[in-house]
Amino acid sequence: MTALVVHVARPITLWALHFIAIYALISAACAPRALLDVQVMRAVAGLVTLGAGLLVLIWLFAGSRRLRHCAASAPERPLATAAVWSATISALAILLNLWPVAILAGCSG
Amino acid sequence: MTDARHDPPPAVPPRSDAYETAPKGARETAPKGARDKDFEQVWATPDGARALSSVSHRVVGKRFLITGFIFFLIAGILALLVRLQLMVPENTFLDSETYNQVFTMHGTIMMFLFAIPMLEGFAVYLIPLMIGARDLVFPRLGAFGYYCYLFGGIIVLSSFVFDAAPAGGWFMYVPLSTSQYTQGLSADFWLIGITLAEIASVTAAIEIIASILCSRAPGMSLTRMPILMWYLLVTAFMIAIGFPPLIIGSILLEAERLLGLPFFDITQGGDPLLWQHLFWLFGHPEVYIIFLPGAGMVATMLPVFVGKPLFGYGFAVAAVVTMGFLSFGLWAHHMFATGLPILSLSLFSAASTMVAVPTGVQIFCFIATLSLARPRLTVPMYFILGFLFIFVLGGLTGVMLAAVPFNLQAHDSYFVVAHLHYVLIGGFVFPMFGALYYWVPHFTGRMMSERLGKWAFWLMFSGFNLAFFMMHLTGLRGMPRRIATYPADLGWDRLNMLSTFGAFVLAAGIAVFIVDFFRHRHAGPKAGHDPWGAATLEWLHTPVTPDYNFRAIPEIRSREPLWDQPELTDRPATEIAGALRDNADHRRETIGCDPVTGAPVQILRLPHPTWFPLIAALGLAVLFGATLASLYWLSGVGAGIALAGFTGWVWEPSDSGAVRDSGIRDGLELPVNVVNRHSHLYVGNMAMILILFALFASLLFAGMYLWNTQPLSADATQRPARIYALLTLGLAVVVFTLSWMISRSVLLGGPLMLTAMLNVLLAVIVAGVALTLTLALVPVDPWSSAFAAVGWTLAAYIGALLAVMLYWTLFNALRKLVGAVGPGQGLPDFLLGSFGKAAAVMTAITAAAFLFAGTPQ
Repeated sequence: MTALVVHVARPITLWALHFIAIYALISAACAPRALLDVQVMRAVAGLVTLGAGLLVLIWLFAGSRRLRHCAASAPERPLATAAVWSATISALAILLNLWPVAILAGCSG
Repeated sequence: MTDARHDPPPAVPPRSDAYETAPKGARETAPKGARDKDFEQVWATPDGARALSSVSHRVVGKRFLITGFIFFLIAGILALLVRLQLMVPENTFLDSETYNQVFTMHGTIMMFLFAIPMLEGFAVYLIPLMIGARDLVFPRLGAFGYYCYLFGGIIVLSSFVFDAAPAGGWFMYVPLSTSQYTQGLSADFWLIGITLAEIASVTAAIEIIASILCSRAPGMSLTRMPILMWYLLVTAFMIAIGFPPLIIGSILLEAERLLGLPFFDITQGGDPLLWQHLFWLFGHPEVYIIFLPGAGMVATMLPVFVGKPLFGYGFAVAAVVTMGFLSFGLWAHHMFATGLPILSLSLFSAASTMVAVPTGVQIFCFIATLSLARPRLTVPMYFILGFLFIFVLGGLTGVMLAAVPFNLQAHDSYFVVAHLHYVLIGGFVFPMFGALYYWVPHFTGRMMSERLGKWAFWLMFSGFNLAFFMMHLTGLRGMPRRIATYPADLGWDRLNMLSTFGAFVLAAGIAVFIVDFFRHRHAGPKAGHDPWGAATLEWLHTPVTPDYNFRAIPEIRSREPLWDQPELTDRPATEIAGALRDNADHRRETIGCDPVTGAPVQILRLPHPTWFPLIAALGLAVLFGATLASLYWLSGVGAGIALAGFTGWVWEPSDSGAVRDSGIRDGLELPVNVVNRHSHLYVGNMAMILILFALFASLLFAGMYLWNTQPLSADATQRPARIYALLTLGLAVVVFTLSWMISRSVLLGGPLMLTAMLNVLLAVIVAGVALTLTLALVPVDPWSSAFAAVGWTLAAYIGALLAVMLYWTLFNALRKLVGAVGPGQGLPDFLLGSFGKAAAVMTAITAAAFLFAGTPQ
């Protein structure tokens, strides 16, 4: 059951790390210090999202399999369900983090 | 849910070798006054003035609830004054300055002194009852938190007496709240009073996390916890991470006002937006911190009135956990009109939209539960339905406001006022009133009136919608918020009149509730056993539950124990079988569990009534209040009183080392207060370290933000001395190593003399770190720029951690020297080890930052 608690928490923790990464990248490119070129920022954001997205999809797939094999009356089933939903919500949220970077041309839109 | 499967046999509690050497029975005598008392007397609440020394969760929880409700009424009266002023155009009922004070205090009291303390009150009162514990695991911390809240609230409220009520809005934006634009003490009352009150929030977070994870009844795994516990657990973690940015922001602003440090002064490389970032990093999660317990109470009550378990327990858990995280990614949607890059706005817009998904999942769980059977339309059920209607509307306008173009149009208009009240009143106040009707019989043993309750609901529901729905329209017609009056014929007159009328109808509903509350104390029918037919453990006894909560702590095999475990309902509650029925030691005890499986792993010894929490909180109140009055000698006295209170608090015999029969599972023997990672103190310590890291991260964020947004000023700031920064880094590694050695020494049962020597050595090194860190910053003038001021603040924060560590190490060494600690009683050193490692990591990061800042760029 301890592992399942981790499975519930890890996708959304990954979202948090991804969000921080995207926010940091935008800040690096768009703040007055201008540490990064916008195109570099977009490329790095894409790579980071690719990695995070793949990981969360793997977790989602593994979680779904685990849920299918979990008996309906098993005490751990609620956490198995929660792990799948947490991964689903996190996958969507990671995609949405990238969305503005993907569709906007630069810092000012 | 019925789950006939028992837990697997509990693993043998992890023990250190220290147990082998611990003298059984050592330090196990009860406090002086308790040795001749029977079980009931041991748990009894003291009478008269000594009641102030009570640390019982039931007493403290009720105090939170009553005090919070009084603040709610005060803030409500202020809201009525606001509405009276806005009832007609060009009104002169309040002058502008008074109006500003009134709406500022309304928001401040509602957010800080009502909503959070009320949820703390429910949590403190209900958690042990619902998880099968006799008290919270840190009862003194709960009492201390309450007194800090009370004194902080009094400081904030006393500003009216001194005609110095804050007038800058509940978010105290800079530069308006800096001493340049807000002279006098009004902003200081806010900053100092609220910071004192916030101590209650962070202590409650530690208390909630450790209690839920460490003191559940045998067999109550995470999946058998009442759903409210998930909501409160996530809320507590959110408080632990969400409140520190505000605490840091308040300290920076007070330092700017008091000492002239230029954190937000744009002419010296500061940035007013830094305040907004820090404030909303707290402020937006705060909305969810308020909402989640309300939703949790709905998720608890709804199945009772439907007569079926909550639909989608797993879905709800996922939704609550993900909401807890996502809510931290929304803060800048309060700053859409501040000129942030469009790219940033879009990122926060996306996250703000995203949070609607887990919220929707929860709402669908509630609707699906409603569809399982025909609900009983009791008064709490009315309030649940009111919650669903109002909160969903508030959520929908939230999605509208998440869209940047609409937000820019509606920004700072009454549309936003309508939205936030739909979310907060719908999301917390309606569930809270439902919860009060539901749990008042537990508090008082009598039922409130169904007839008056329905009157209260309909008045509140209709009054609320009349008052606040109109505000959507006034907002869309362009009425800005926070204006003291407005000209006639702008199309706002009639809508404002209706809003004011609605506000008074809402107030009438609340008045009916109050009348009903006082009436029911003598005229309400006595509550029978489990009056609502609930499934959770708090209804095990016929109200009022005895002070000890559970005569024996039952084994739990279901999430709805009172529905599924007949052995809990077929006999008087005092005769139910369970753990710790014997009380040979005349001590307050409860069962400690594995955080995940709920298997019993230890016996927790809990403190008896004590004055130390009150003394410590009083000392802090004197410290804070005297600072406000610029009586710094008195501040020192207050600090001394607080330190004396804390020292008396922790100077107590250790109970670790004894082993006792738990009374369950064929004589299962459990250690008392284990010395390992299962310890409730270890879990509480980790929660505290989480808060400390959040404080540290907030300061780092401030430094990095200024470095990134004010590059010219940051680059022109004097450099720290690199050699001392390097030395600090090296010593931080030594502190980490020594702390690790202390932990290991305790776990391996090392001799007391060895840990005492390590204590002293650590104290010397810690003093050395403080010295080198100071020397590293000597070349930097903190008044020269905001960046330099943040550097000094970072060092001051590390200095505070080191001071605590120094005190702690010497304290532990002294206790060994005077023979107050026996073999196998190394819990204080074990905790010191964890704290030391965390402090060392923060020191190392700070030293590395100074090294980087000291390098020419």
